[in-house]
Amino acid sequence: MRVICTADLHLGRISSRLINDVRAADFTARAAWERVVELALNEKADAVAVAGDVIDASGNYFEACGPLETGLKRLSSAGIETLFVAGNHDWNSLPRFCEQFAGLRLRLLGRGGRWERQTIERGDERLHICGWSFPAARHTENPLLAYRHESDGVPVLGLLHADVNQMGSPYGPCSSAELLAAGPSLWLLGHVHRTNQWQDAAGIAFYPGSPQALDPGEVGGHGAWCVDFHRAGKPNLRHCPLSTIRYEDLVVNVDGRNDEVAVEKALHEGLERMVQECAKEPGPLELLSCRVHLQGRTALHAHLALHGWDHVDELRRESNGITAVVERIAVNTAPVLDLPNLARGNSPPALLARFLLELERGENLPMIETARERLGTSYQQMRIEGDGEPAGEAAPRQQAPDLEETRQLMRRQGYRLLAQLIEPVS
Amino acid sequence: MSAFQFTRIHVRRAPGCSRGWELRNLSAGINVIIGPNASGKTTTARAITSVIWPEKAIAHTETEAEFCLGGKPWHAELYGRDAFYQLNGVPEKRPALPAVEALGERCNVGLHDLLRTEDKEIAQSILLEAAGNYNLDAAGQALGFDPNPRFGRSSRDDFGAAKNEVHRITRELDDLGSESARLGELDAALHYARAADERAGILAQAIEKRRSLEAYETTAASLKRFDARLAALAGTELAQLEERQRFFEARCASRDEAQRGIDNALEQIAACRLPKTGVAAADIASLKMRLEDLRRADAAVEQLQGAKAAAQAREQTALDALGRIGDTAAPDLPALNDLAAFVREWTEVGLDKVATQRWRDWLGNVAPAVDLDELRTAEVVLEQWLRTPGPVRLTVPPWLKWGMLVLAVLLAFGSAAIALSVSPFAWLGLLPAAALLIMAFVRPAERPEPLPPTLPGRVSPPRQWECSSVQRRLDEIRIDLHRANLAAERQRERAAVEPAWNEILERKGRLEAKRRELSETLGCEIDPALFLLFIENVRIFRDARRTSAEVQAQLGTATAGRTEVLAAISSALSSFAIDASTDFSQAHGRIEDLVSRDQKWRGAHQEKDAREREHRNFGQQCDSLREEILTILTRANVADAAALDLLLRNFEGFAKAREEERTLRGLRENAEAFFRQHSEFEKRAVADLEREHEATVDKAKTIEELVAEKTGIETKIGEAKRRTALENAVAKREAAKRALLEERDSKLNALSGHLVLEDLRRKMGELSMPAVFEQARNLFARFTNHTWELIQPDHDHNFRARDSAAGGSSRPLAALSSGTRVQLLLALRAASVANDERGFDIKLPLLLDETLANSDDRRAQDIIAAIAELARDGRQIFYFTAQADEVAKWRAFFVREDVPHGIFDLSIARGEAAVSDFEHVSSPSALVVPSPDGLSYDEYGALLGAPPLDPREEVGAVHLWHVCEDAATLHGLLKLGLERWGQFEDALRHGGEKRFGDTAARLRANAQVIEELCACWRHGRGRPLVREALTEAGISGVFIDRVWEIARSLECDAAKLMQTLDRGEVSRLRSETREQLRQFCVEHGYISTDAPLSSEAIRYRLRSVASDLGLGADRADFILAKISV
Repeated sequence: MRVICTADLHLGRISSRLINDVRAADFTARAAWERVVELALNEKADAVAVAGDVIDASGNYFEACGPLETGLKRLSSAGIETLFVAGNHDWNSLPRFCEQFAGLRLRLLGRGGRWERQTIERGDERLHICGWSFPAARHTENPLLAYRHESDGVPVLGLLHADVNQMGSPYGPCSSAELLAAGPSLWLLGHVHRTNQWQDAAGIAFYPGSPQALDPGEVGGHGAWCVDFHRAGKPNLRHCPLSTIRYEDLVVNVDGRNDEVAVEKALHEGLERMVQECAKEPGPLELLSCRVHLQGRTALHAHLALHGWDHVDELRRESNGITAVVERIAVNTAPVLDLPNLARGNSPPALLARFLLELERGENLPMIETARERLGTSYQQMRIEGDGEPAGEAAPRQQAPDLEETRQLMRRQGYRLLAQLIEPVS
Repeated sequence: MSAFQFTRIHVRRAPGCSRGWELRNLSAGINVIIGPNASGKTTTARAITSVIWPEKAIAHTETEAEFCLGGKPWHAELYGRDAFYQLNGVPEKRPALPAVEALGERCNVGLHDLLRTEDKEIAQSILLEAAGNYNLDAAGQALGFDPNPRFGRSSRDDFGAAKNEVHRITRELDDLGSESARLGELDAALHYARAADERAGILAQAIEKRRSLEAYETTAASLKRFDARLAALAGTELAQLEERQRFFEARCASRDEAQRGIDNALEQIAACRLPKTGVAAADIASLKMRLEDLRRADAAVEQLQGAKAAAQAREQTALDALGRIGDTAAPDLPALNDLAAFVREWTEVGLDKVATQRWRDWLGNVAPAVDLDELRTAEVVLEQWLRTPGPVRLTVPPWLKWGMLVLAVLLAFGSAAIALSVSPFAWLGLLPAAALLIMAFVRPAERPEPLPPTLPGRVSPPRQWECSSVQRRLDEIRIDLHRANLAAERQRERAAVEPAWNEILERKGRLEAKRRELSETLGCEIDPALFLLFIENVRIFRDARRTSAEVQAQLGTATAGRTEVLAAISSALSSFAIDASTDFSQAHGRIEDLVSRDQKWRGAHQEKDAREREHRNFGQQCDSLREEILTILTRANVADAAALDLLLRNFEGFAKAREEERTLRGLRENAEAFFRQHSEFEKRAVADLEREHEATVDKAKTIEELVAEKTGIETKIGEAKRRTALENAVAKREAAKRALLEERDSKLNALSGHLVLEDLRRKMGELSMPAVFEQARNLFARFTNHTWELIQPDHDHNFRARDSAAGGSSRPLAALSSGTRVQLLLALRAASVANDERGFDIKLPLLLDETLANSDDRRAQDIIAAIAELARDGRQIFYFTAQADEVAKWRAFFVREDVPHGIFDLSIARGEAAVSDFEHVSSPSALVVPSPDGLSYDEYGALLGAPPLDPREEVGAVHLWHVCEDAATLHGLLKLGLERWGQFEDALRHGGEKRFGDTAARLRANAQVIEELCACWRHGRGRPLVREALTEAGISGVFIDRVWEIARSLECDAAKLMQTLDRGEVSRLRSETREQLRQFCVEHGYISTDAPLSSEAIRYRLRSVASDLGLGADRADFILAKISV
């Protein structure tokens, strides 16, 4: 029995940080859903299972309906059944859709937060699929508490939209241990957009991730999973890349590279390496968007700290139809300094060097606590409506800096100030 | 504290400097380094700094230094930034020194800035100096630190607008959702209306069918009234009949015309008088080929006749040239070849002899006039004589001499007067007077001149045995010695040539003997040049004779062939009763006539065949048309056309009735089928059906409204499904939110920076500043000899100084003289440096620029006193200046004060001919910078005498006229004593950046373009060749003068020199030596293996650099025009 597993389609969303050279329509959740359908047809799947958050928001209902309906018609025509559970984003819109298109071969499991089981049969093969749907936008109880496993020797696939190992979460909190102990041989989970997996001898629980990467925080490959169930033994999982964009964090060490040409060369090399790696993986990948983190000690630190890298647009590589670009360069470099030696004097650089050394040693400095309070106050003054919403995992900051973040901020700004004092850049 | 004190600095190599220089015995105190502009002051300062901090060294420099640190001797060697240190001669790590970032700049004191401070807020400068010259506020500002971060209005507005847009679209979609709920009601109503509509449609059909049945019956009755024969006709039979009859007559006329054509063709065939089969094409082709053969044969005969005549003419000419020598008189050809080889060898030996003779002449044969050993001995003897100490002459100045005379006379007269009038003992006073006279006029004993030595035999002695004469003679001897060496060298070269010369002479003699032998053999005097001509004429005669015979034979063959071809043509033509031909033109005419007749014969036959085909065709058509006419009349059952016309007059009405009946017959069948299907309507009348129909139509009228309403909603839903407005709006909102979040991150970073800076300020106030102020206060008191004392500032940084001379009252700093204020700032700088040195227990040298020239005497003395005080504290000072009066001030100070010091002239250190005589240089006040008023920039450059841009030099040596763009700026810089870019750059490094502001940026950009230009120009060009390089490359003394002379004429361009040498301009210079020189030049950079850049490539490069620097392309072109590429 072959099932295509996916979750968190978020129809109505589009990948962020696109470049002008690409066709935006190819980077939508709609297009990703079409690729999921195509995959199911090509793989001659018996069913498609989707673990919630199919529609991004209730307001997106009509815009999501069109592509969803089209895809489901194709699947129905091929005799492929589609099973959904509703997530926190589509708890009300997905049931409405399923009612409206009841004539198609689709099924919403666990409506109203009640566990439900459906059995698929193909010849002499059978598969139980049990699922639980969000009854409201928030659900603070553990959905597994109501689950009752009935074993009859047939493999069971559990569909659940939940926040795993995030106790206290308002989005169906449960633990991975509970999942693995619950009984089903495979749990298909939704809610987290990046792939993650837990397994033990009893079974597997995994987040398939969204089929289309939508945000720079969703690094790594994205796609759907092709799962083959057998009568005995663990199911076999195979990742099928479907995303047209891939976000990656690229750490470039510029230690000892003291001129722009050398740094640029390091950037190009890093980008080339990354795009070559991505090119090895099959799939429809068109755009590789890298967030570069420059690290290491360089004489260019002062310039980089003040002006950043001026030529981001020129950093571009192409390989096998994949365009690799740099979305942003985060400068985390340090100047080429002998801090202990510099710290021996009493000049401003020496005092600053001592301060940085204390930070590097992890000493408890009274000013850090004071700074954290000042930063917290300032953060509150600049609070943005919608803070804390799961709008994207790579949002710059969702809460006031804690002590460790404050230390890092002080460290980074301390290095900038030191570089500016020693070698003023206007 | 251990002092870091240099004892020696050796700049071995530096960009733009052809040779290095060394400063020895540097003082532990003050070292005044003097040198004119571009003499290497900046390079020396950089070398000193780079020994302490190799990170500051620039590429391609080599420096060696010795210094004392903690009383121990250190040695340092720097190659670029690679530094190697030795302590007591043993390799050692670099000594622990403060970081370059902390002190690298501050040990270079820009006194220009300190002097300008008088125009600024002194308190601000004091605080800056006390903070180690680190401007924390400026740094914070540059980094964008912000104590009160707030969102910008635009980003918040963008986010708000994006959110509103999402809400608006969401509301629209919610409304659509409500509308979609009504779709069910609409479907039900529509179903009922559509059923009524369907019933109305069936009723309408029943009405129509019933009416069709009634119409058919009426039409069928009317059709029966027409003639029965009309049913077989189509109505067009009369027209067809008339047309067929017209065609029939026309075809008959054509058939007769074809018969006449056949008769004419038969007549033409008979007139051609050819056989019945005509002329075969093969026969015509054969005749034409033979005719072509005849033409070729005629041409060959004619050509051979011409060749025969030409050969006979050459034969005659050669005979005339040989003077009618018969065939038997000419020697055979092999013998002539030997003779020719002899003549060639004769010529080669002659040329070789001439060349060797010229070389021998150039070498000459002059033996040295004087023996070399004698000259060398004489040189040694004279050098020794000159080194022997000379006579010592004690001379008395004239004024003293005459003073003593006057004194002696006065003393004598005085003594005499006293002796005569008072006491005879006074005559003793004559003794000192006599002694004075003796001292004034009697020459003391002199040390004798050394005895004249003996010179070797033929070497003549100097005219006089005194220094100048001996030195002159020594110079002459050295020149003689050089000439003798050269003559000896040439004699050796000539001796080497002699064997070859003798061999040539010997070969020449052998050839002469052979010539005489040949002359006797031939019986006439052999002149090699004339003999070559004789041999040539014999060859021509023999060739012409042979050619004539060969041509005659070919002519006979060609004539026979021609006759044969002519006979064959006549034979072929005779079969067509044509007479035989005698030549080409006759044969050609007869063949052409035959061809013409044949063509006419063939045309007539073709015409006859075509006419016969036409005749048959038209005959068949006439038969067919007659048949058709009969068929039409038979079908209408009439006898002729008139009867047919009468019958067809009623056809139109008949046809109409028949058509209507046919149409209605189909409708009748359709209606019968309808009523069989809907039997409920079969018996109902039309009126009954119409009543029911009207009622049903009323019920169906709502369909359109319902459909419109439903379609409207479905269209909206369909559009909503297709569009992506909300998707796009959400994407925009997320982007705006992300921008806001990022801005908040940035703001928090700015606040973090501010907090770090705040913390740093606090620490400065607690730790660093008090110590610096305390030390500065002490130094300031010492600098001013305790006249002034700096008072600790209040919280508002109001500084005051206490004047001990005025009873200890405090005064604001504005009351201090400018010199005292500079002393205060210098004290602060020294205290700040010392504050940082404390952690290392070290005292680093201070480097100061010229400053005193622009100071009045009092201020200069104050500054010097302060510097001297620092030196007394054990700190080594380097003071660089190009100003003579500054040196004078220092000299005067050193006379008065006991401070360890040294004065070093860089020009002397560099061993340059023009030694800077700072003792006699006029004061700077006499230096007048001409004003550019009324002059163009070019004219001003000419007035200044600005040297042209030399791309071989480093950019530091470039005159500022090339770097500036306007005369006013240039004039201002010159007035400040800045003439070269290096000086200006140095001034910028020492705090001039603020002073010159935008001008500095602009000039720096220009200088970078010039530097790029020089680098581009040097690409692919070697460095200038020097004579020493030629010697090192192995050019011997014999050639060195000639090669160097050529090199100089080529502006020391090694590549051009090699091209010249390759052309053999210096004869006898061996190719191995040339290759050796070429390899040496490549290895040592005199020749570049790269191709020089084209002017276009340089222009492109300069424009690119200029563009990067924010300059226009015109500026790049202007700078490029300064040199010729």
